[in-house]
Amino acid sequence: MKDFPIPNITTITLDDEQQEGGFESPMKEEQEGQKVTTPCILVIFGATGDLTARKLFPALYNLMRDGQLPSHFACVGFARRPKSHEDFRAEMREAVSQFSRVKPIDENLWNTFTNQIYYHQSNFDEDNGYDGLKTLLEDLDKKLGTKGNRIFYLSTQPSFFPDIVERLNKHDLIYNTTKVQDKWSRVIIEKPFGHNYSSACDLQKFVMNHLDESQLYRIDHYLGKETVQNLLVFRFANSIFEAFWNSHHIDHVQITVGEEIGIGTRGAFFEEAGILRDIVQNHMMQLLSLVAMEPPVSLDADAIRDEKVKVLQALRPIDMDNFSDYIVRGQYGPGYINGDSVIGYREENNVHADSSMETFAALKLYIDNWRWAGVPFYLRAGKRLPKRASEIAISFKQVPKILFAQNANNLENNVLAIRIQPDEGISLKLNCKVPGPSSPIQPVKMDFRYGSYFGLTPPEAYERLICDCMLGDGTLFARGDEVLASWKWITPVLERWHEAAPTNFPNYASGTWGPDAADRIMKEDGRSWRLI
Amino acid sequence: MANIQLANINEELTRLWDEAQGEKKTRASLFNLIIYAKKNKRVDYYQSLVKRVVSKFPCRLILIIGDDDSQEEYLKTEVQTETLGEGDLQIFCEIIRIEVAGALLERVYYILLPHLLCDLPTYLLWTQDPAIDNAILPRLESIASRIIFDPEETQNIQNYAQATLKLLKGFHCDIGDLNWSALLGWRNIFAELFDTPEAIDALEQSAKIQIVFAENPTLGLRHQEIEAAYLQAWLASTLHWKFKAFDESEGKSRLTYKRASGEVVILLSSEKNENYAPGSLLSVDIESAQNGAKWHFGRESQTNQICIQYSDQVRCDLPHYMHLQNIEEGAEIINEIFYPQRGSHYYQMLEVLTQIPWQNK
Repeated sequence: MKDFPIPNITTITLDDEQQEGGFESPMKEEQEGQKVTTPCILVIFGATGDLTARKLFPALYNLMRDGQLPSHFACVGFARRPKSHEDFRAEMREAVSQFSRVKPIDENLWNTFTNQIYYHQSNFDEDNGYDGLKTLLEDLDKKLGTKGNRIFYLSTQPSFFPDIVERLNKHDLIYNTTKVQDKWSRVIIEKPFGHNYSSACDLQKFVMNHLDESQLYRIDHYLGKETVQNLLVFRFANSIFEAFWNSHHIDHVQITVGEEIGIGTRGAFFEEAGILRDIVQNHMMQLLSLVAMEPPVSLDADAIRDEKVKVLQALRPIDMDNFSDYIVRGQYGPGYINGDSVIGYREENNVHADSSMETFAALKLYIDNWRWAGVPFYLRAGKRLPKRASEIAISFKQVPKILFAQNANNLENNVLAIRIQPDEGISLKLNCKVPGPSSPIQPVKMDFRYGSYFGLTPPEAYERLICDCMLGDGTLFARGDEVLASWKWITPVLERWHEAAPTNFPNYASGTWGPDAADRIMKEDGRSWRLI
Repeated sequence: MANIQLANINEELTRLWDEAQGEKKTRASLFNLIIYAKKNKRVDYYQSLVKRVVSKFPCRLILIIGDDDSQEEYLKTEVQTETLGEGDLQIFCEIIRIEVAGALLERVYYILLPHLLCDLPTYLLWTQDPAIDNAILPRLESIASRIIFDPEETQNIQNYAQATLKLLKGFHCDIGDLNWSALLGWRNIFAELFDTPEAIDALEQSAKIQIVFAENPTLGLRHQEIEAAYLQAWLASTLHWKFKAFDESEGKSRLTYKRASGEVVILLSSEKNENYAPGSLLSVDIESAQNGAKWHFGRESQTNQICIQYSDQVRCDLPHYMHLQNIEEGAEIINEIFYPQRGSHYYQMLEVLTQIPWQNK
């Protein structure tokens, strides 16, 4: 293993108390609603991967730009490829220039930031590499005043998670929370956490041997989006909606996560995962639980997650005898996106020519609790759909068709749509009289757009989530029991699909809203998918 | 308007909106309106229709001009915005114009899908002949709340009526008809005037009806007689006359119907009159077999009034005037969007038209 010398940068001299991280300056005033990040080092495992370049470094740069990174901070990239600090910095500069939400890059800011970036080369399974990392981090603590606080971001293939966690613990890079209280260590794990219920349980058990739940941050970037965070505010800070948020008033709920892109360079990954594991098990189940949860007793992370997990535990098990009435899978064939012809899934790189992997899933599920009795939740997720769009739509029950019987066909359900991406916002569909002597009724839409009202580009999800991890706030991260509850519901679907290979793939053209069978499960209930 | 990439439509509209925001504008849409037109002389008419609609109602308007005669393939996209109102009440609405030719036409459905505003009704003005199979129409039908046809574009009125009746049975969405809407004013006048059993009885016993319409040189219209054709078919269906014969010669159409006791002959003829839009009804003369009753309905020059004269063997009324609604250019599409009226009369009128062997045009 090769270790690189630390470049000569300005050394900050701190006294011993400060270096241990236990000192709180009496000059600091805690302001209501504003949390301040504490000094720390972020170590990214798999630092040469796409996620680091496209999301993590742009997020760090923007956090710094917005003054949300701690003053005493460093980021260390940990990966297998040999590379110098300078090479890594140059690559990350390029990445930030290309992918940051704010452009162009601020040179002065970058010149400061670049001195906080380091690279450490090692294989993930080499003990020497962890020894070297420990030495590097301790040196950086002394030089930068990062107080021994660590975040380890595992942006690697999931198969490396156990090994990395085990070695971090073995080399005392993860602190035992019962013994060490003056500094902290946290581990962020990217999805997927396991590939079915059994493997998720095994992984959970293994990981918990090396750290405790409060140290583990299972990241789901959907939870970092402004609109998702706003769901809690929207539901619990407005009296008018919560009163109607139940089976008495809501006809059904639709949750859509659509992407117009195909699987691109992720063929090998997708052949192992599929849309159910990649999107539904994590993002969509999180959205579902936020929409359906009961009011938490407080805004503490555990209070919110306690309520979320109850939703997942209340999911009605799938009716295996009528499976196709509840679950539909699809795979995209050739079609058109933005007027250009695109290839089908089976023609993508690193995909089997007769692949059975699903790129689309539609599900109808029920939450068997008092609030949601009898209300169907329709979920659909897919690749190569007409547009990139993620939203939650609450469709309210119709009024009795008594007063406006003549207009009965034009009376549409009121729909509250929460757009998660793009164009974050909330809209409400209402029926309205068209001006004039007769009384035709036409739906109209009241629309709130984040961009229009607040005039700011909302922060990227990763900015918020990394910041929250630095603050030790796990609210927007999935807890172990949530992940397991979700896998427990999803796994029978995966098993059923595994047993019976599809015979009709590909069954939807790229650029359409999925297979006909997905429309059928709605049509049989007298409903239809929203044309987003 | 400059050409932009299809993928940049939303980006470009947002840019235009951001530029306009400082001017106290509200971005709003009441509905999606898709106009699918063939690249021919009538495109200008549809362009004027677009202007007419967006000048009154904020909407997302997508004008697709298809050219299936072109040897080359091309796809051109432009966006523009229109502002309604003044001062603090300016409303900003959006027009997307897509020209597509050759084999790229099969992509129209895919091109449209991402650009519809959700939660709003989607109206499709389909200006092709529904009697001619078209692969695009069934796909667009799946996303439309209502499809509005322009029978002017049909080759043959009989085939049009047959096809429309078939589609009315098969489509999940409602169907509109620009010509039926254009006739609304005339239908209302007849309904108002013939509102007693005696008057209906006299009308039912008509022996001869002459309908004159404006026929002006135009490059875009095939069927300037279509409004007259609809009116006579509507009269025949509401009065339960049975079609007997059709003859077309020297630019005049002669239709014979059997009524309860005898026959009625309906003549459709044209007159050059550039004061009115091509196809506009100029006059209707009715002669009844009962008591020598005669009605004359004549357009008053350049007004929306109809002068009505009645006489019979014992009576000669002073002329009186009735107001013809719905004659402004473009009013027919606005009516078809907001005030569609498709009761049994429309179906029955189409049934009559299916029996008449109109010539191809």
